[in-house]
Amino acid sequence: MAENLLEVQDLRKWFPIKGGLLGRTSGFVKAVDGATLGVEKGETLGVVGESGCGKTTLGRTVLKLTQPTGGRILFDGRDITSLRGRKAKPLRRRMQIVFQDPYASLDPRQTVRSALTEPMKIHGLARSRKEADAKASELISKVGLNPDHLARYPHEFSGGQRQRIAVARALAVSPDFIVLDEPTSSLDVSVQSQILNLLKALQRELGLTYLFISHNLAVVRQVCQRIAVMYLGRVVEMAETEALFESPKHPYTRALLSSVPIPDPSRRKALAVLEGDVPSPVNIPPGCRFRQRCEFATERCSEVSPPMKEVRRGQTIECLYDIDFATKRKVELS
Amino acid sequence: MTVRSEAQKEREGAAVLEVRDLRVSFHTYLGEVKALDGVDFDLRRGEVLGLVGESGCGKTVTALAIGGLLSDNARVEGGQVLLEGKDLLKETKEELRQTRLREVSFVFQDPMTFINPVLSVGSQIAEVLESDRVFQDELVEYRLDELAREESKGDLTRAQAEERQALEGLGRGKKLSKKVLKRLAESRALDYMRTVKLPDPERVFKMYPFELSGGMRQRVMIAMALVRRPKVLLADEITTALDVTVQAQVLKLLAELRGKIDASVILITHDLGVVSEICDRVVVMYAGNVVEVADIDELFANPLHPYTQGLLASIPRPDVHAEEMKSISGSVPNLIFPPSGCRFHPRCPKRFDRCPGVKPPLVEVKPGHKVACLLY
Repeated sequence: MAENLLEVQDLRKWFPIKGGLLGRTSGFVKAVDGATLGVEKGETLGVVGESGCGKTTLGRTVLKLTQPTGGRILFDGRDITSLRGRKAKPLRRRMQIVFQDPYASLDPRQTVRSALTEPMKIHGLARSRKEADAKASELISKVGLNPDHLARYPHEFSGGQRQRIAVARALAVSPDFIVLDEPTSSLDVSVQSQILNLLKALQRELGLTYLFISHNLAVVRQVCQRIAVMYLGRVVEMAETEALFESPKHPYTRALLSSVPIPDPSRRKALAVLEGDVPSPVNIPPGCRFRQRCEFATERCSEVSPPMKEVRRGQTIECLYDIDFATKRKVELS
Repeated sequence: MTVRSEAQKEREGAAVLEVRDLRVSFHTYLGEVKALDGVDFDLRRGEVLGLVGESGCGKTVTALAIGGLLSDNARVEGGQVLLEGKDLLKETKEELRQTRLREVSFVFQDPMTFINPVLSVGSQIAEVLESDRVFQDELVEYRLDELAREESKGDLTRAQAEERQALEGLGRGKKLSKKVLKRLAESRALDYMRTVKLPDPERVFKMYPFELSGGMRQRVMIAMALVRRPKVLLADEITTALDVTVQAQVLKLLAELRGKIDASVILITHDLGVVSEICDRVVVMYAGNVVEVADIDELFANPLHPYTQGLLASIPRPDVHAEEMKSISGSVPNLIFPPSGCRFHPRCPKRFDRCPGVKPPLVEVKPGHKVACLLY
């Protein structure tokens, strides 16, 4: 097994709910509540889940864009959990992010050249303006645009082109690790694959490690080597992509996968329907978080929080049982 | 426009709605946006028709034009929208209001924008029926039917018997009191809340939109659209804002509603997975044109237009892994200066010398399969 570039242990990020005249904290939104995962050097780890499951908060917390409430984050073997301010700066050069909406993530009053050279200046990566400009030209060609585009402003580009610029900006400081937070969700399908292919090619060329956050399971299947499935702030299943799609082991993963419509009428099937809604992350039910919507739930599920267990090589779940979905037989995991 | 024989019309089933050569442009300070450039399709009775394409292709503008809901800077340059033979584009404001009230309903992507946040859910579903006297006779009949059903199950209570007597005593067209109208409307609203499978409808009736989840709000919107028993339901990206598990719930509901409701449905979406799940036929649009129309199975098995082929090849599929994904080069054109001839030609891998000069007509190449491309 390759070495982990990023390791997240029992990570928690709670947002206080302030209410009333005195601004007292009346509770917490437990966006991430005990998530554990590792990202291997050079791989793309997908993080999937429905809205509100904590995937974006997880991405922002591992980058230290917000302070975690608890747990540990290790980057390249070093504990970065409480690193702040100036001390975190060298870290920021190595970890970058590409956001979902390139209309919001690029400054409308900044030329592309300035957007690409500013991070180099901040981190002292170019000795002269000339060198920075040369690097910017190289970057812009790398993402499939041409150096003439450097003098332009974001509004002169289409959504796909803007996302290419956002990728170039993340690459400007030669990072090792990039969080891709729904990088193609705001793009049309015909453009989406252009960006995904670009991201894959860049990864091969530069040896990057990606944390790919997405709600689109079809996209994740194309780009990720391994996938972490999140539900209500926890990673409930983690496995290699093919294993996860071919034989999911957590009942939630299975329900999630079978509710995705397949764009092929010859494979039209009755979509498996998971009843109910995701519970509120303020009042998380005790025991297993998924039990109220789970068809396999037992008494024990409401009493015990399932620990993470390995059911098969490289496939871990947070469930008390190893369930055979075809026969509906379950074996308690020891 | 293609000329069809009587036999062809027979085979295709009667059309409820015919959109003919519809052209719409928008006036903006940057210039005139030619949003629809000759859109042509039929909606057959009882079917679910998918209207698909990427953002800016004109799917939503088509829907808004059908309902007469275009914004002030839009102008209909030509064409017809025939609802059972009646041209909606020629209707006056009041006639259009009546049409939208009784015959054409909408459900939009984001329910929170269209639901009134300060009215309870039930009362706003019922409000539609109370708002206009045209529903009065229908409501009375509906209630009488309901009472008749009760009676066949067992005796009516005294109150119910009195109610029936009172309702039967009313002559057609005679005005009901507001109180009675409200009660009748609310009972039908509750009925439709059951139809769309809202859990615990009596309780949800009194709740406010902010208390509901996204999936429940979308059910409320659907109930509100169906309670008027429209002939045409325009559903614009109704599952786009929902999570996949909730989307599956709503798609299941739509599948169950077929057969129960009379409405023919136009489902507007960019998601070909959703289309293949529930549509009978598909209209593919690109940059304001209809480029292909076919039955769902035919379209996926045998796409003819190079754009449809590119689109189908570039969707990531949840059921297979591909090392390299296909895409269509370039991006969607600016419709202030649309490409000449075929609007897809700058991105088309199969273009030839005539493409920039000639706008391809929509021709039927096989029974029920139409395509607008000079290759055919």
